[in-house]
Amino acid sequence: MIEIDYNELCELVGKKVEKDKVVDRLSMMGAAVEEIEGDKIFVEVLPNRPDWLSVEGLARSLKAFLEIEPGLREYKAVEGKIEVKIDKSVEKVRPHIVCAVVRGVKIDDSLIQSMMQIQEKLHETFGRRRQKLAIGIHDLSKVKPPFTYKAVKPTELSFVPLGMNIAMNLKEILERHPKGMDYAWVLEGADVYPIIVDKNNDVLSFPPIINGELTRVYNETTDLFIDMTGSSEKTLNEALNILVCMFADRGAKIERVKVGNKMLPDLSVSEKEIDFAHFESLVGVKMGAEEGKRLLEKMGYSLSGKKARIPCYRTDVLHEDDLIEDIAIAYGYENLKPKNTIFPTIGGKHPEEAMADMAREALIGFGLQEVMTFMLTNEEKHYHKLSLKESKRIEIANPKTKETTMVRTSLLSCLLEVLSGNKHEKYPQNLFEVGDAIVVDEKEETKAKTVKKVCVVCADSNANYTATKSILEGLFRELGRKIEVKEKALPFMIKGRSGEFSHGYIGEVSPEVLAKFEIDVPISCFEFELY
Amino acid sequence: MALSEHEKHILLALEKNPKQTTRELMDSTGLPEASINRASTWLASKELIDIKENVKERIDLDFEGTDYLANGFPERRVLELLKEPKTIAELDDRLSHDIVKIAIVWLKRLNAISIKEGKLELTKAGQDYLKKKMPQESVLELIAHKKTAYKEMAQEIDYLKKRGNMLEFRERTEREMELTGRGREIIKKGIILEKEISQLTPELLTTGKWKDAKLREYEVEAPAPIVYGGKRHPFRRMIDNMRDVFIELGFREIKGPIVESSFWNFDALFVPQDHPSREMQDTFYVPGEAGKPAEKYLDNVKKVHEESWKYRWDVKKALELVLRTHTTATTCRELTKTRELPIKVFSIDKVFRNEVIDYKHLAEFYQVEGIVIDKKATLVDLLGILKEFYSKLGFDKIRFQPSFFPYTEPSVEVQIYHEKKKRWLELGGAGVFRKEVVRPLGVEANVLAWGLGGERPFFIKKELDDIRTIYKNSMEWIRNVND
Repeated sequence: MIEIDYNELCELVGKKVEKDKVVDRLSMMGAAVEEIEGDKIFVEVLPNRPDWLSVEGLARSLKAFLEIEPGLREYKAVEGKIEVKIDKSVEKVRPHIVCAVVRGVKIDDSLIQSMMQIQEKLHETFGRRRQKLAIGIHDLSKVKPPFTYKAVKPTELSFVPLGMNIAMNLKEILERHPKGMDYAWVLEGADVYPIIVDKNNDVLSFPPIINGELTRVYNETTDLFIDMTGSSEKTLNEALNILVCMFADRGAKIERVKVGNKMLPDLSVSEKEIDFAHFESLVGVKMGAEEGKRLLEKMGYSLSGKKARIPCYRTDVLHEDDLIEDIAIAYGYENLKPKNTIFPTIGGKHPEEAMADMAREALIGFGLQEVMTFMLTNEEKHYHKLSLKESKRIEIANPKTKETTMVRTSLLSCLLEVLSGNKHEKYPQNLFEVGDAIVVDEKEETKAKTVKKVCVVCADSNANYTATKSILEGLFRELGRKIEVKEKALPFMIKGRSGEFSHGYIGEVSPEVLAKFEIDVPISCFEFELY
Repeated sequence: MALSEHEKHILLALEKNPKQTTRELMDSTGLPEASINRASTWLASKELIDIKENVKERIDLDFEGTDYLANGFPERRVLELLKEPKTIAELDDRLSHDIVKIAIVWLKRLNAISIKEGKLELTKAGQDYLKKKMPQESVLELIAHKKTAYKEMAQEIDYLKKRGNMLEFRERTEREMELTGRGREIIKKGIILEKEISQLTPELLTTGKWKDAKLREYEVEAPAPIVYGGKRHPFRRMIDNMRDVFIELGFREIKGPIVESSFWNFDALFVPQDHPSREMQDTFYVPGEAGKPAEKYLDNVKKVHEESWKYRWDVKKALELVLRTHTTATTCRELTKTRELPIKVFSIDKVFRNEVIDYKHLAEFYQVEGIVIDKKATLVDLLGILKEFYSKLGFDKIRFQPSFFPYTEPSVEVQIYHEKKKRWLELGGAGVFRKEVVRPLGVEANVLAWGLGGERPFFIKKELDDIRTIYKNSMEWIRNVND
């Protein structure tokens, strides 16, 4: 989510558009407005549109979408003389770097805000928390090109990091600087760290951690040097284009930098063939070439012959379908008329669920109340409270809380939990659940099998084995199954009052277990595998 | 005026003695307390009697009082042992130290013992108590046998109160019934008592005795005891409803594994391997490795990832096991099963997200999932199905906005209107599966797909404030909530 200012947006669009209309149009363009506080608008930017992570980017698209300035906006970069050398030493730690220069930037507080916001958002999502992408923006006048991107030993070099007034070496920055501590994980295990220095060996940046204080951007700054480093060259170039276009929209001039042997940024327009007949086969609405062209322009493209020309800041157009989606958005989702087409098929329940429905219906007929509980649980609740030994189970490798460390293998503990939470409600409480449990099964593709289980608990001052067995046998009769209960001692049942049958058990819960669940009435219960 | 048998008994008893308490009426009519209470309430509503309620304090023995009454006060037990002087240690050998301690305190207060040469011995007063009751003992007995009223024993009761757990004080409302003028008139007109029968029995019917029996008239307007029948869980009702609607629309129900391989949960759905949704903080991972899917799918998916996203696709990562984060994994598997088109399938099943549970987040919830596979299926057909589906569930206001999911293009976000909160609420996503998803799995047709929240519409319909209510299974809520 990003925050933009309504007045600033209008200024960049070049027209005062009513706030309600702005909100509506942004949402229907695909930039959903989540919240409005006075002139502040909070926009949810979808991951396929990183070019919308700034007010400049949103304004650029909105301007076309409102057809104030439709069509392709081409960005040009002038050739420059600045060079960045890439030393081989970075290959193992952080192989890629792209750079650009922008000149004549009029920096004010709102641009600094916007710059900080887009950097932060690009870092977090697009840049996968700086691993794939980290950005540095520098005051060019403070340093002397050519620049060198290289890797050095952690204690080889010291500089004053941004926001500090003393020089620190790279190791110290990772250990003590707040940003260093936050992002040290990206460099974990590396024995050399990446660094960008100028001709005099002054440090511009220690990517992806922090810039030097030396190149801090002030309101007086006019010329910027931008570096982006990371693991994916494709991502870096996309992000670089997005960022320089943002400055260009503010009136700055983009200048190319020689990075290694490439001249960057590459702001060339790409092309993709579009056949408007495909619009109808995907969206279901007829689309003529004339209207198709207009709608493409509304989304910031232009049409040249059969090809859509795609601006340099769009990173998400992989396929013709992506163009078709944009045409649909330009057409307006609110204008798409939902259609009732008959696709002749015959519906039906899955046999497992049909069986579950049957069991539910029978149990409700016996006067039992259905409950629905969670499948995630922990060993304490699932085993220990029932005096059971831990068994093979699906464990969660990365639980966020102690409550969810495993998936249940049976339902009884969940139902006892429900009874425990309802001890002040009127009895009898005769409950059941028909629900999923998961057992380990090496033969299955995913090493686990979901089983549908039925569990019944009868809690009342005179709950007893026989009454519950009547229900069990009645249920089996309804399901058309045979049942034969054999005596079997179970650790959570009263001795001599429990038995087992094919894939199930029945009995009266032992007082020790009831005490652990803080239940004050006797409980008889059964559970079995239904499907 | 119709009078029940019990009412008649009460009126006749009051005729002899026009002012009686419940207890007195129980004696004079022989009816149980509940019948007296019910009948006199009805008599009062008919203005034949007045009921006055007096609050009285009632004393019972608490657990220690009961114990002392049965086994003797500690001081009595020690007193008996002190017929011969003994040291405290000697007493401790015979009784528990706690009892000895309490006994000594109270015996001292009664001046019944003194200490000589380290031994306790009885005083003159102590010797006397061997022959007569101590005051506390008399009071306890009196209370136990309810021989004296509270007021007359105030001092002694206070004395016992201080010891704690001896007495239990309860307020008790005592009703007093008095005949009214109208009541007298009715009695004057004469009340005929017949033997009334309350329950018609098979015996009466088979023997024909019913012809001579007078069946008691009931207070048909009286409240009946509350019973709770068994029923479906309220949320299950909505799920069943949704399943019915799907089936009506010709959809077939499908199921898939809950412990799912990343390949079907993510990779086959064109979710790049470094996508944030695959991170540990969003997805529950399970130790172990899934079996490989068919070679052709593996190759096709690898190819489409590497060509589109320009990275090295790692089969190991695709075989990681997860708790499925969406049932789209289940519909995705369905794509590989070739059958005659069109195909329409659905699933309403559990999915899992690594969330901390709070009033608006659950770590496991239901997803309402469906796909339509057909050469002629388009986006507007998808919108038509969704609109029809939700309108059948009672949500008439539905709208669609542009959205993004890695596996659909075009993508829409489905929203329904919350009348009470006056705002649009997000239900989930829908769209047409990308060619990058369907082609590698061998599907040449369009696939319309959606995966929407199951709990959300229920939450809205029932006006809940806390999503956890659904799985708390409070009997109070379940028993009283209705459709």
